[in-house]
Amino acid sequence: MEIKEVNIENIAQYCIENVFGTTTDKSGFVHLDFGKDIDSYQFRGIMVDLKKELSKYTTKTIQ
Amino acid sequence: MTYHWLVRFDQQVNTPYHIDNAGDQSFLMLGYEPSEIDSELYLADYFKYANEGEARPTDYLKNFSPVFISDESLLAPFITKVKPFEKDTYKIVFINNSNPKLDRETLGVFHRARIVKPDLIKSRIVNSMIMNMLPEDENSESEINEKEFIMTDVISK
Repeated sequence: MEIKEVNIENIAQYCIENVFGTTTDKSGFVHLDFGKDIDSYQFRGIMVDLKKELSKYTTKTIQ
Repeated sequence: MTYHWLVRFDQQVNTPYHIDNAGDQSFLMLGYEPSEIDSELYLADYFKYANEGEARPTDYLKNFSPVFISDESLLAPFITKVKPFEKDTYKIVFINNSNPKLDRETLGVFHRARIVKPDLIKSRIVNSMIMNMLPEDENSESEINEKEFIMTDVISK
């Protein structure tokens, strides 16, 4: 999926729907392309932010 | 979710189909930086293979191995090639890395990297994060320094 606007909540939701599946009709992975207009530091920040957002979901789910 | 590892490395290594060594319920986030090195990433659904594959052992999941050591052509119907894999953009591939324990909550897939034409003079930087999904009472966040990961210019070889 091409990411035109970095909205971590939306990206996390897309990851949850496709990667956290319990049946094989989900792919088990997602591919996100952020284009060329960011730098390495911003990119790594996105990775950390995405992990935090995903953690919110799993904390809610498995309690 | 807790960090299992958070690293950045410069790597041009082909791998077999495998899951990474982490928690039973774990997730791998690969962050690819722009690189002139052509590479490919393949995912294989080992649950579909276990249930539908020809010539798969009947107890495949019970005796699951984190590395697929049989003839890879057996996995062919269950493989997805990640594409397009542009050379000049920043990309994340987020993968379910879980293993098939009986009390599993989500389903993992194998991944395999292929470097089309290695050239060690050039770099291929991959940021790699694995996180384990644990019940909150087992959730002991390890000493991972996120700020250092974001700001560092150090790249492991």
